[in-house]
This record gives sequence, C-alpha cells and structure tokens, in this order.
Amino acid sequence: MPPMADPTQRPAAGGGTAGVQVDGATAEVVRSYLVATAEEMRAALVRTAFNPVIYEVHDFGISIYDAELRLVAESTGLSRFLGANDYSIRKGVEYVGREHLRPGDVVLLNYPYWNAAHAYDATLFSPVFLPDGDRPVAFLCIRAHWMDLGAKDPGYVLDSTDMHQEGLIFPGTKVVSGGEPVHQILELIRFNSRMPELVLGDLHAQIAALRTGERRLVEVYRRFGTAVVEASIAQAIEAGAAAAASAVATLPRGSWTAEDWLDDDGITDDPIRMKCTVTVTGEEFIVDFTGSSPAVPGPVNLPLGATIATCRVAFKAITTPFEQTNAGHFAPLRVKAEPGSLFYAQYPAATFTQWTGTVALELIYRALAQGMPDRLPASSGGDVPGFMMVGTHPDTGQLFAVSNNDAVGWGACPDHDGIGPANHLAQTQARNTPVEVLEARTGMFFERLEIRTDSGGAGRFRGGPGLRRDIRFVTPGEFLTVIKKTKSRPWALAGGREPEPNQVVVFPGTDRERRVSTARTTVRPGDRVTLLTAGGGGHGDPRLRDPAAVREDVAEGYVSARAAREIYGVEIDGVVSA
Amino acid sequence: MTDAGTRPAGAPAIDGATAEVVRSYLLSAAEEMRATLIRTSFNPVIYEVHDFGMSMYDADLRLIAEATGMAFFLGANDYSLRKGVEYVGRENLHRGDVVLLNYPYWNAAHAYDATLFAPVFRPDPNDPEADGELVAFLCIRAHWMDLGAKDPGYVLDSTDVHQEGLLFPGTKVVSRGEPVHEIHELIKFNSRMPGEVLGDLHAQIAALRTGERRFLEILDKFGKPTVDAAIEWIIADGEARVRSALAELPKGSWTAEDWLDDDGITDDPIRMKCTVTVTDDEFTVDFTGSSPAVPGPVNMPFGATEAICKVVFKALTSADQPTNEGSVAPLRVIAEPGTLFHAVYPQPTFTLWTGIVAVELITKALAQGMPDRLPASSGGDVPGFMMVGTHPDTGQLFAVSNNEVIGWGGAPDHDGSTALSHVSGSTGRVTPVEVLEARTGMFFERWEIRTDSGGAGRFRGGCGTRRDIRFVTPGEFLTVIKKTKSRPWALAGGREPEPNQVVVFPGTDREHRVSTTRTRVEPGDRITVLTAGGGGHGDPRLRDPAAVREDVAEGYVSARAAREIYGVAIEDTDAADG
Repeated sequence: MPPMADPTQRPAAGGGTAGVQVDGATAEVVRSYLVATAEEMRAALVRTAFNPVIYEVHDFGISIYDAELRLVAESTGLSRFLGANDYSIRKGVEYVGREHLRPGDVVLLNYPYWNAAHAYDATLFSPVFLPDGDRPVAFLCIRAHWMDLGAKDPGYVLDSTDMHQEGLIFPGTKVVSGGEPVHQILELIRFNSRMPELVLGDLHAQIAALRTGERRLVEVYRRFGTAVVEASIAQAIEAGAAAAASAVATLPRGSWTAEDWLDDDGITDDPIRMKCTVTVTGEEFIVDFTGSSPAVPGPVNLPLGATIATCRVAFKAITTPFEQTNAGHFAPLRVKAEPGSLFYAQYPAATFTQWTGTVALELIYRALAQGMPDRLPASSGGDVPGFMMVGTHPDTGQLFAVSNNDAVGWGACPDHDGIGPANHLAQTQARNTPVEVLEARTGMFFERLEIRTDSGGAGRFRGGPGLRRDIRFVTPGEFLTVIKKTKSRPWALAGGREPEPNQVVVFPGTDRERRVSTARTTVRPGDRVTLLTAGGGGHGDPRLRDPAAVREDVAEGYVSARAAREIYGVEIDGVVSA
Repeated sequence: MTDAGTRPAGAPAIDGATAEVVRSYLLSAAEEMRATLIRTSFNPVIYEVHDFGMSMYDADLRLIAEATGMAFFLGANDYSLRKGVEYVGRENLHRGDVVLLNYPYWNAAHAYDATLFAPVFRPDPNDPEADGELVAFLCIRAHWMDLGAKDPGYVLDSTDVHQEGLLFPGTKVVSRGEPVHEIHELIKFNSRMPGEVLGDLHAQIAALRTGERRFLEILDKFGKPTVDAAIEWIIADGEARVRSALAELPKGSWTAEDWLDDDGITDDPIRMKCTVTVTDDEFTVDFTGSSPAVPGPVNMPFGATEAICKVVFKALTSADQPTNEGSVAPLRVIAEPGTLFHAVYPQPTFTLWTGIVAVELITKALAQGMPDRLPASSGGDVPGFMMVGTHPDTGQLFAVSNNEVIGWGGAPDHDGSTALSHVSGSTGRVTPVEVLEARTGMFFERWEIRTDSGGAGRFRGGCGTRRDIRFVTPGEFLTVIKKTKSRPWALAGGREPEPNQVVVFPGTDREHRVSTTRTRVEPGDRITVLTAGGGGHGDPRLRDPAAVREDVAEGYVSARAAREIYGVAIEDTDAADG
C-alpha cells in the first residue's frame, strides 16, 4: 500500500513535519503498525527469554519512542514498567549523550534512581536509525526482570541498607556497540551473576526483541515515509493529550488526602507512613506524596521514576483506560515527592523491595474515592503477596530461584462485586507462575490452592476473595516472602466490611509456627508453609445485599452459611453452617 | 670482570658485572614504580601501610624483579598474571593496554586487592604504529577501599563471592593507551568510595607507565640480547642459590596443626594442617588434612596459598636476595580443591587472615626438623581493626584500617622483636595515629607496650601492645583477628603468652570480648585492643639474669614475673609489681 498522504500536504523542502497533515485513516494505520511492532517485540521476548518471570509472569515492559523520546506505542506488560521506561530512557540518553549513540547500539541501564525501578529490572534501549540516516528517528526500550546480578543474597533482597548491596549497577553501558557485542561487558555480567546463563539468555532475548522492533520500525518509515510517520505520531500524541484533557475536565474538582501504612522496611518492625494528596483542577491532576515518611533504612524506598510510573497507572485507569497509551495521555499529570523521602529515593538509599509502589497505587485510589465515590472501588487485598524459593535443584545441582506473585481479591465497587482471586491491579497484565513450573523448577510441592471462603470483605457489593496455598517442601532451601500489607486490613467503602489482611504462616501446626511478612525462612524437606491472601474490601452495608446474591455466594463457596446469616442476615436452608 | 667459575649452572655467557648492572636497573625500575604508586595513590592503606605488591616479568611471564611490598602479594602476582594473560589471550593484548583482574580464584587474593597488569611492547622504529614486540609484563596489585561488597569497609561474614564486590575477570581499563570509559564508569557507579578507588586505579596505571618507560630504557641502553641474557643469568642465579640452600636443609617430613578462631558465620574453630617435606631437590608444602572449605570468608584461593608458601620458602633459603622466578623453583604446594587452602567458586574468600596464620603453621612444622633455625610463634596473627562511618568534616563515608603490631617469637639464640608488624607483612607499616585520628572518629587514649605479654623463655618472645580507643563520632568498629582463642606456641620449654584480645566497652555492663566482628559504636564508647606477644624459646630459668633485669628496667617484664617465672629477684622495684 503506497503512502496515502495528499501530495499537497507533503513537507516543505528541507524536510521536517511542520505543516504536514495526514488523513485520519493513514494516521490510524501507522499508529496500529507501531503498536503491532511493540506487540511483535513482546512475542520475540516471551519466546526467547530464559527465565519464567519473563516468559510466564510477563514481568517486563516494552515501549517505542520518537526521536524526542516521546512515548509512541507500547505493548502489554507490567503496568508500572511502562511508565518507568519513559523515565529511564530519558536518563539513559542524557547520560550516554545522543552524540555517542550509533546505529546498532544497545545500552543497558539499571541504576535505580535513573531506572525508575530496582537494579534487577534491567532496562535495555537502542536508537533506531534509518539506512543512511545520521540521527536516530526513534528509540526502543525493553525492561525485564533478571534473576541475579550479584546482590547480597540470591533470589531477592529483603533487607539491604544501601544500593551497593543490590547488585551490579549499570548507569547506561553499551552491551552492543555498532552491532558488535561488547565482550568485556558481557563477561562482567557472566562473572558477577550467580545465574549467568539465565541472565545472559534474557539479555540476548531483549536484544532480539529490540532488533525485531528496529526492523519493523524501519519498514514503517520506508513504507509510509518519514514525514507521514512523524505527522501520524504527532497526531496520535495530540489526540491522546486531547482525550486526557477532556477526561480530566469531567472529573470532580477538589483535593483529597489519604494515608496508609506499610508493614515495615525489612530492617525494623516499625510501620511506615504513606500519605498522598490528589488535587484535580480543570487542567491538572496532581499527586503529592508530601507528608510520607522520610526514606527508611530498608529497601522499600521508591526512586522518583517508579513513583511517577505508579501515578501514571492510576491516572490512566481513571482518565483514558480504553486507549492505547502514548505520551499525550499523561500531559495533565503532575507528581510531587520530596527528595530523600519514601517516594523519592536518592543515592545510596536502598530500593530493592518495590512493593511500596504496589501499595501506593491503592493509596492514590483511596484519596480519589473521597472525591469520586461513584467511580472507585474499595481496596483490593492491598498488596502483591510474592513468594520465592531459592535452593539447589536436586536434578541439576544448579542454583534455582523461582517466584510467584500470588493473586488477591479486588475491592467491591459502587455497582458490582470485586473479582478474585486475580492479580493485583498494579500488574493486571502479569500472570502467576503455573504450579507445574514451580514444582518442576523448585523444591515446592503444592498440597492445596483454593479460594478462601469469607475472605472477601462483606458489603452490599462484596470484595473478591483471596486464596489459600499450602506448600510442602521436598528439598531444602530458603523460602522468601515479600508482602508489605499483613498488619493492616484492606479498607472498605460506604459501610462495607474490611476483610482479614494477608497472612503467611510458616510451619503451621508445629511448635515453630509463626506468622511472617517479608522474610527469608530456611526450610527443610517436610516443612510446610501456608499463604492466605487477602480479599478485597466490601462496598456498602452487607444487610443491603441482594439475598439472592448471598445465596449464590454460599452456593459458590465464597461466603459461608454462618456469615450469610450473621453478617448478611440471610438464612440459608439445607446448608450446615461452617 | 667476571670469573667464569662462578657463573650459575645453565646461565648464558654474559659477564656477571653486566648481569648485575641490568638486574639492579630492573630492581630500581620496580622501586621507581613503587615510589610512583606511593606518591600518587589516594588511600592510606596503599600510601601509609604499603598494602601492595609490584612485579616485573619477562615475555614468558617469569618473574624478573619486584619491589618491596606486602610479602604475600608478590607471589600472588605471579599466579594472577598467568591467569589474566590466559583469560584475555596473548593475541588480544596490545601496546598501551592495562588489564584489571580481581576474580579471587585467579587473583590469588580477595576481590578488593585489585591486580592491574600491562604488557610492555617495544615499538618497531620502522613501523611505529604497530604494537611492536612484546618484551615484558608489569603487574601491580593494591588494596582498594570499596567495590560494592555487602558491607562498607571490610567483609567479615560473606557466604559467597558475589557478596564480596564487583568482579573483574581480566578487563581492560586502558585499551591501546585510551581509557575504557565504560569500565571506569562501572567502577564509579559500583563503589561506595569512587573517588578513592579511581584515584588508586590511576595511581597504579601511572606506576605501570613508569615501569614501562624504564624497561624500554633498559632495552635501549643495553640492547635486547644483553638484557635477555642478563634475565637468564638472574633467574639461573636465583635458582642456583636456593638449590644450594635447600641442599643444606635437614631432610625429612614434618606435620603441624593449628586452629583458626572461626569462619565469621559460626563459632566453630577451623582446623589447619600442613606437612612440609624437604628432599634434595624439592620443598613440598601439603595442606591435606585441613578443613574442607567453610561457609564463611576465610577460605584461601590456591594462588594465595602458594604465595604464603613462597614467603616461608624464600625466608628460609635466600632471605637476603632479590626474588625472581628461580628463587622458588624447588617449591611445590599441594591443597585439595574445595578445601580451606584451595577455594573454588563460589566459596567466599574475603577475610584472608588464614594465610597469615598459615605462615606460622608452616614455620611450626619446620621447627620440628630445624629447631636451631626457627623461632616460636609470633603473636600469631595480624590484629586488624577499622572504623567505618561518616566524617563530620566532610559528610563523606570513611573506612580506614590499621594492621596492629604484635610480638615476634623467641628464637634459638635471641629474643623476639617487640611491637612489630607480623612476619607475613613485615614490610607493611602501621597506619599512623595521626592519620587514624584525622580521617576517622577514633581518638587514641593510650598505645603502649604490654608488660609480660611476651612468652617467657631463655629467649623471650617480643611484647605485644595495648591500644585504648575512644570514639568521638558514631560508626562501626571492625576487628579482624582469627587467633584470639588459642595461644601462640612456644619452643624448647618456653612459655606460651596470652592470645590477642579485643575488649569492647571495657568497664561497662556491655563489656565483652570479640574477635572478628563489626561493632556499632557511639561517641564516648571505648575499645581496648591487646595484641599478643611472641612465644618463648627455652626454659625461662636459663635466661641470663642480667637480661631479665634489663627487661624489668625497660618494662617488658614485671618484677613479679622476673621473680616467679625467671627466678630473678629485682631489688627496689617492688612498687612496679603488676
């Protein structure tokens, strides 16, 4: 198909896109081509990555930028990673210097304060040049979770007190230069990782995906011409900005503040205060974390880029949830956090355990719910209950470290029940790790994985249920849990009930039984651990719930007959109370 | 001026005077490298303590000259240079390259002893752009202050190599004369003290350049054939001398055992065993029977084990000669892979004190066969301490250490020296009190020779010291001593002195003894370091009473010990009785 631009709208001599107009159909075709490019990069990554956190869980983010580093297209991935890419590619290009980027280069960045994430989320980016071009026309960026870069402990870091305990740091280092692999850097990764095959495999998968994107982008530019592509991009971004502006204009105006607490920082047991104020004016949507705790010794501090990325997830969901994202969609968003605070970590503050961002997403919604009670649900289970086993695999003698982010119940809405168990709203595109993968690649055997009756907060609309998982260990090793919301309950709305928080019970039924939250527990064959994930908060008075819905809940096992009677006031016949 | 009759066996036809001039030129080149390093390095462990080793090799990697430095760094250079050249590949080395290696199992030391080496090429005047002929290698290792290990300062309890800092397997930091920017940046971003580390890196490069210039001058001045012949002569001379010394040693096989306090993870003592076998043409040190590798960081890379054996062998056979490849030709070292004296990946190796104690162990075995040549044990170890904190004047992290002095063992014909650096680091120096007080938060209330700390004997062990430290800023006080639980051994009926002791918070209800540990300190806290004296040699009752009286007058021995142990009554000094 030839370019469909009207010849009268071609750029003036000397190039540039000023004045170029493309018809909407062409612009949409180009835009779809770009999105398809991102999706093809995703397919390349998923098919070639070595570690299941990438190919099963989809713990990655893939984005395409124009020459001005404006987001043009992205593929589905971890929601918070996508906004993070926008931040880190700017820092990376600034650090390396545009003048030092050449065709064929691939740059690695994981310095947390620029990376908008911890050091194990490795961001690779590459400039795209057209043949004979002397300046990049676009940039591609892929971040994905790597398994080991030599941090203080294998698997995951729960109690670091500075960045240097969190792995090898790359500020923006070429791993491919002019198309040639940089041997010395690849060797440094090999020597500094406990799992070099997995890490180098994933590195090459990311490079392969970048190359896929580069080929497709060059095709787009060839097929439609630079002027048409650039004009299409400009139009898409303008349209995104217009849609976001119009959505913000329809939101209630006001300023609302919410607070919540993280369990601890991994070093002491002190809860950590999070506070956010959301202000909506006619034009701007401001999220301000002033009043939150100063940065803490342990690794729950968020780099500013990660804070911005969290705010983008909330903002996008509330303004233009059905549009494919580009830079325009975030034009009205402002994010404020004091340097040196929980939401704006500075060197050398520890940042490894990024669960703060997960919990903060709920915090933003909690503030908004005050001003928009008809639009927002109660809290979900409140966090991502993550677990991991680290050990030596009996079949291979190799170190393994495989994780799962468990599902929770979502909060009830003003007009429907919460779903569940489902992945936390901070990462709805991610998946859990299949039991088959966990059992084959670690020393965990799963005796039970089921929905927990009565775990969803009661209400006129009920919170979604959480789940229960009973694990028996068949090899020795370490069992890691990462949950920062086990001490405070998910909040309810409009008279709904708060469900029980997440719980991890190690060694249940033995004299060693105890509850843990974020911890590294040594386990032996025969030991057991039970995970109980929280349901979502309820919405509205449970006595107002439709009795037919309650009866269905009981029939489905979401609610016990006793709870139906005592909380919902619905008598269930023919069912023995639990 | 040579006498053909004194030419070493196998030496080429070169007159001894010329060979000696060339040898002295090479030695002075090494000494000039040393002077450059001391004058340009940034951290006092290098410029005050002299915690470095520098060596020159011929194109076949045979040691031809070295400068005074940490004794067991010199043999370590021999090992790591071979590994480094093998890893990089000779064909990949070019004029102007400088390579960094600190991978412990190749480095023959822990990761903070950074080994830099450079090939020396002699340019071809007809083709000045080409590399020219590879004529020599230069090697300098020095202790760097931080490469992002698990803790700042020093690592006492690592359980794998990845907790011990950024690892370089043999990475060019300078390539064809151009600094490799990305590697320098990686060091900058991965160190807690990048200013000092990059300063020291450049000091080492400057010293290598000094050596390169001088070596090329030597070739120009004497001509390459003469220099080549001189090198052959020097090495043959070195070997001839040690073989003749070996011939005079008693022949036999002797075994000794000793114990390290602990590995930093548990309190279990660690068994060290060595058997020394001397035959007509070999000197074999065999560590079979020592502990398997332990979880904590006291395991020795094999190259480090070889290096300490070289220290002992050299001291015994050609103590007064400059060292070269020939000087250690008869030495064989045996240690099983995976044991304390032959660590393999990923076993932790940071706390290299095992090597210090093992020097004494080898001596202990030899003393059985050569009682007339060897002294009793010294204080047995290097009592190291360090303070880590934030300097009130600069707000910067500091980490400054000192290797404390001890007493040396009594010998068959003379007393041990008092308050001296340990035999394994006899050319190292203490860090001056002035430096420690200016650059850390330690104030020294007392530093004195400890009366009665030397083991009594016909020839007395030298005395250790007492150091009372008061802290004026908060921080961490690190001690590294692996011999506090067992006493230094005596010989021939001499007495064993008290072992090293570190008393934290003396005179308070928090008072306790520590060995290798990291102690949190606040202003006003005190710590006392008591270092051990050497073991005594022979029955104290046989000591010359005049010598005992002089000991009392000097304060080395108390009047009471003189009376009770030596049987010498001292008049008029009862008041001084301890």
